[in-house]
Amino acid sequence: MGLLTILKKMKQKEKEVRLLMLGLDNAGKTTILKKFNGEDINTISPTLGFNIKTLEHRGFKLNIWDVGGQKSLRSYWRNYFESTDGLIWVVDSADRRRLSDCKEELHQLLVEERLAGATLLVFANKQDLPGALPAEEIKEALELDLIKTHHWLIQGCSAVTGENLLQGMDWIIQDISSRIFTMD
Amino acid sequence: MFSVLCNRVWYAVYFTLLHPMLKWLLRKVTGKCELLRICYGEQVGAPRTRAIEKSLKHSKFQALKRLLTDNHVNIDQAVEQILSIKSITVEVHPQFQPTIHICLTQICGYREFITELESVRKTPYSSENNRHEEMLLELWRKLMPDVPLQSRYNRQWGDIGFQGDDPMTDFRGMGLLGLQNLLYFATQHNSTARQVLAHSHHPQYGYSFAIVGINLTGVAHQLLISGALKTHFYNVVQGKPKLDHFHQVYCYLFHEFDKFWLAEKPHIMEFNKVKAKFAKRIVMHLKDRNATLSMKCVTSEAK
Repeated sequence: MGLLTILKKMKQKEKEVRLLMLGLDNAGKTTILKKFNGEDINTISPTLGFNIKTLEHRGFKLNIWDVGGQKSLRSYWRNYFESTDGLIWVVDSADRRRLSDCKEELHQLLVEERLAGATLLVFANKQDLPGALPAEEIKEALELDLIKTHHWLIQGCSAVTGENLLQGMDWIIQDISSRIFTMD
Repeated sequence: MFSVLCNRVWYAVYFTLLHPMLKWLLRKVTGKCELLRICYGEQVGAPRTRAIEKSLKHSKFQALKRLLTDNHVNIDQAVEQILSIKSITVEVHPQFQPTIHICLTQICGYREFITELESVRKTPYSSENNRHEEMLLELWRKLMPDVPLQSRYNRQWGDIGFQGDDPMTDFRGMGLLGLQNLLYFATQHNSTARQVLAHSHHPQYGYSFAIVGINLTGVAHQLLISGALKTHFYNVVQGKPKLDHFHQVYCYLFHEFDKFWLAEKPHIMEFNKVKAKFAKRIVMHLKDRNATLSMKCVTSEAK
């Protein structure tokens, strides 16, 4: 290992990424966060306020903000927009009744100036449930193809089994790092 | 790092060498084994039961250590076993047998109670279960006696602090236990619960009553699992705790949390910070072995 490699590694250590995780209540945001962090997911209560976790992943320091999704809290989401590198929008794929709500809230976020540069990852969560719509149908329902302002990807996943969480996270980090850290 | 290592070494030396020597010396001088000395010397309740628990944990007899881990311990047999291992004559120490019996019932009962409570918590709320539905509607009637619920799926649920129009999704990891806790509070301490609900509607320092309630079920559950609640249960319950004892702790926590929240005057987004601070305070309180978590001011309501 040469000196350059070591220096490069040290430089990578400093790479901090701020991820903001939003979505309607009961979408599974806290469960995703805990599962990704290897914590117990069986004793979760609804999030009033927010959770923040800092974790190392593939040489990046991730600051993940998980903010409560109930209607009365949504007006406070804006307080967490500042310096967000990536937005993770979590959808309960089995909650067909509120999909239009879900679409509206997401599109409202995308016009926010302070989120303009952020990469968007949509987690079509709860794929383990029998009534869940596949990611492709969630994409249609949320009209993701209309989004031209942000890099985006939709990923079907299950926070309970952990399926595809890593794929989604790897993509968003890779996309952010290719935008931000290529200048190094 | 070094101090941690020192601590470990000290612990190892103490429990393998010094503690047994001290116990041997005390036994020779007083003529009584450690369990007997605790029964005579320690005050009834948590001070005594926790001391017995600690003594069993560090006992050199595997049979005694196992009393702290085995499921379904036969208490009568366990007491006989202790009498024989420690060569205690019942005629000389008539109080020992009933005393150790209570302590063991409390120690094993706490563990068994965790299993019982977990089965309630792990039962998910189901809108297809009539009993669950009836409990939910009863919660509404107890908290809002003057306002009829227009329909089952309704934004009115927000008035008692659920997130959306169907409370089912809010119980999450706390399952049926979350609902049972709320319903017990609303039933057994109705005026206090409604007073707390009114506080939760404060325009500036309000909070979501039911959601906070479910989070407090989480706090109570964590206190139980961590063993912090032993102090309270050993002081208050002579035998094995029952679900009602847990509900009573919950009522105490909700009432105290409400006061704590109003005193702190935080923003709703700071809830997790305030909850953590509150839980820490309760844990500190329970470190005092004489502590209990009882709603003194409102017990008269329960009649």
